[in-house]
Amino acid sequence: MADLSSAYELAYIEARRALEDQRAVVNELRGRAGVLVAAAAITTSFFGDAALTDGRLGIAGWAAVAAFVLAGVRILAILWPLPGWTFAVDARVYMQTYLEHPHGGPSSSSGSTGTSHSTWPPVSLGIAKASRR
Amino acid sequence: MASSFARNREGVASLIRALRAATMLLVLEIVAWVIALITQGA
Repeated sequence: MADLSSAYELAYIEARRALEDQRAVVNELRGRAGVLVAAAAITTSFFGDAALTDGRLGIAGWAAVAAFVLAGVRILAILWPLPGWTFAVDARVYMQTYLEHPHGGPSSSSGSTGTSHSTWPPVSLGIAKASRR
Repeated sequence: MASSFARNREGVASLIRALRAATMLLVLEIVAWVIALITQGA
């Protein structure tokens, strides 16, 4: 039981670490998007000023402007604060899913002492011990 | 937890695709500006 508990605890810790890694990746991607915005703005202002000396843009100039606009749209899509990211574990959902007995509360199967739960819960983390006191 | 991870993974993949496309567009923009300057000078 102790080995199984420690295995579940390790799985839980690794899952939390994976979520934190995902949060770091998203932050890094958004940081890179910010750098791209700055690079596109500097490029457009520098080259645009040089290319518009006579007040006319050729086909290549308009293509550059179109690429700038499209890149801006893509970068805006990256930086837009979309809902749906979940980087934290909802404690209530976690307890209902993994810790509490499916046919009643956590105390209904454990008796008055709270020690006879050999089959449930599958996880014996600190949070599970605290909920049975 | 697993569903959150899978959902986030799809979002991260989408962000990576968008960032790659934006980078390609920036390179394309620079090339286009250089061509514009060259043709203007010629």
